[in-house]
Amino acid sequence: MFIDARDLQPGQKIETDICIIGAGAAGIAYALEFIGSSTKVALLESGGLNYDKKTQSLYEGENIGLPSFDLTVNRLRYFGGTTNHWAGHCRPLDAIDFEQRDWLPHSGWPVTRPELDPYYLRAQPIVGLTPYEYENLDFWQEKLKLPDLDLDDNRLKTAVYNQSPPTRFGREYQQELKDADNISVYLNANVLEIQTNENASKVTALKVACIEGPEFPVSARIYILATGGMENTRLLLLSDSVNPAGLGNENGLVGRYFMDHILLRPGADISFSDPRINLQLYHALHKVAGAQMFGVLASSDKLLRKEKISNFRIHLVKTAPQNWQFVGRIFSNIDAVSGAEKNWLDDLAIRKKNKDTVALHLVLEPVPNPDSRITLSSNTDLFGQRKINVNWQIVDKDLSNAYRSLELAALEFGRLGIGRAYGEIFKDSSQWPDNLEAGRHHCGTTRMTDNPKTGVVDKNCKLNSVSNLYVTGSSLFPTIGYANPTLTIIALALRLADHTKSLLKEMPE
Amino acid sequence: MEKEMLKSRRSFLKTGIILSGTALVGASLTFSFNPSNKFIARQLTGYLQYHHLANVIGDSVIRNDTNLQGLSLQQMIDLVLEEAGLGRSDVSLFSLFNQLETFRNAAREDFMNENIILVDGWVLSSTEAHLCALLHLYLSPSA
Repeated sequence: MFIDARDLQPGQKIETDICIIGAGAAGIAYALEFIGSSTKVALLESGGLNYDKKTQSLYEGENIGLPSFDLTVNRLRYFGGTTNHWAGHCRPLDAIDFEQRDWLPHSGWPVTRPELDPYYLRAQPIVGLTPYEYENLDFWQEKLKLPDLDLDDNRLKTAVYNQSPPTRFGREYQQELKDADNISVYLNANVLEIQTNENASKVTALKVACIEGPEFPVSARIYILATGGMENTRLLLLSDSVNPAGLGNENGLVGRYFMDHILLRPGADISFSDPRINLQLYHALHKVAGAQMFGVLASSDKLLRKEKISNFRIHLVKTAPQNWQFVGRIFSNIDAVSGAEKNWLDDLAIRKKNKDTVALHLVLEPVPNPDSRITLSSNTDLFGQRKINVNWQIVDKDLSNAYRSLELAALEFGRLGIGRAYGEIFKDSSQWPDNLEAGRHHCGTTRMTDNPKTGVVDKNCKLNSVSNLYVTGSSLFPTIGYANPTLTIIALALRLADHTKSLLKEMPE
Repeated sequence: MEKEMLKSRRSFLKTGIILSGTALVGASLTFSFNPSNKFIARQLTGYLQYHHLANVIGDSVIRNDTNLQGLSLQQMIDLVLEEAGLGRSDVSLFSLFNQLETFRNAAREDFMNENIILVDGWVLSSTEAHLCALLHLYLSPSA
């Protein structure tokens, strides 16, 4: 059922088994798992069913580090959260992303890819996808009959991406949640503080308020914090009644290791020596086997281990011709462009027609960096709650990783005799090109580790120092690979749902 | 029948004579062929297309590499041939396609072994960058 929290009486106490804070991808995916069960679930959403300017203003904050997107633009604060405008790109993290990589400081998840695979599988239909065949290019090739690049697997591979319709969680799952007797969705319910017992070891209640309406408490046996990569941190830091540093922040780690994908769009361009090259697999979206897919270039495991660099992917994006487009054609003979000698008239016609180039859009995994962090600012929002400062920082190694990633792609296009690469970064490798941007994937600020001294939550997503508070979402990610985070966010939420289900069975009423 | 046999014998002899003659001319040309630098440069740079662009790249290649600055056309030819594993004696009227294959392989190996040259933001194989440099020298008025 759906309840507008503004209609509640001031101080009206809500009691439930599980209280989820935040109705975005993680919160909704988690809640869906309890439909039809005897567990009472309250799902608190700050916004309503549609975009509202006042509510959205609660996301205001400042980027005080590297330039990034306006914090009220790249996130959405209403039912469905940021899935209301996500692009829908899906892929699980690679197995190597979960490993402790000796060349990548602070890397290593407390879970493995095989452990998460069953949850990824369950996550697929939630985002409107069916076959879980990310590691099986042949599965798609058999149906598509499109050529892939004959890449050197010591360098690159073709990685499969799926494209969600994209599923707008607010719209897609509204009715299902409305119809569920045991689920209560509270709209316009803003959690101002997570209140605890005197030693901050157990959550006792949530302090909830409406912008124009009452303030009321919510108490539960288990609390799930699912407000996104930035707000998870903010709410923990704001919950400072007992520990002035914030809840779960005994080691000063809440808000640190803020990560985002590093984007160069483009990082380089390819001028073809053969304009007839078929790259459809990579630069078009293919409807096949009940899904939509496309290919990207990605680093091979062998490469990462050998070169000790971060993971990356490269999109091949068809672009308008550049004025230097014929540079690649200088080398048509060297590249043995087939057919060029046999029928030069046809060849000429094709060359005239296909004046396209391909832009290489790089998406790079950042090196986890404790100095990249989210903190509270002295500015306050409508509720008088402190806003956030986002100090996004990257390190020199990120630049050399970006350079190397693009150079490897350039080498492969040359080796394959397809074309030659041009990039600003190849002119000057000592500084980032002007088009450096963030991927808008906010991760890492409540990192999940095996060791309470190096992380904020444990492998079951429980806040280390609090017995009944769990965190879910991209803030858990200790490293972020190159894949878009949504599928992993959902997989982790489903895993947490399984865990809390078994916990509830053991917990006293 | 006899007529036809005679015709076929004549045609066989004619073909034989033509082939032998061609082989002799070819062989003598190959043995006595002593190509000029300009001939070799023209032949090698013929593997490049869009010469106006290749010339600009070649200019940059030379400007960015002090080792190439001041090289004569002959020295540049020697460098290009050496990189491809060829000698001057390999260059002949009949070697065009074999040579192209050699340059193809050399360029591929360059990209495989990261024997590359960065030219104004372009990632080129050393072989092809030096071919462009050769073209630039060949087209320069002093060549």
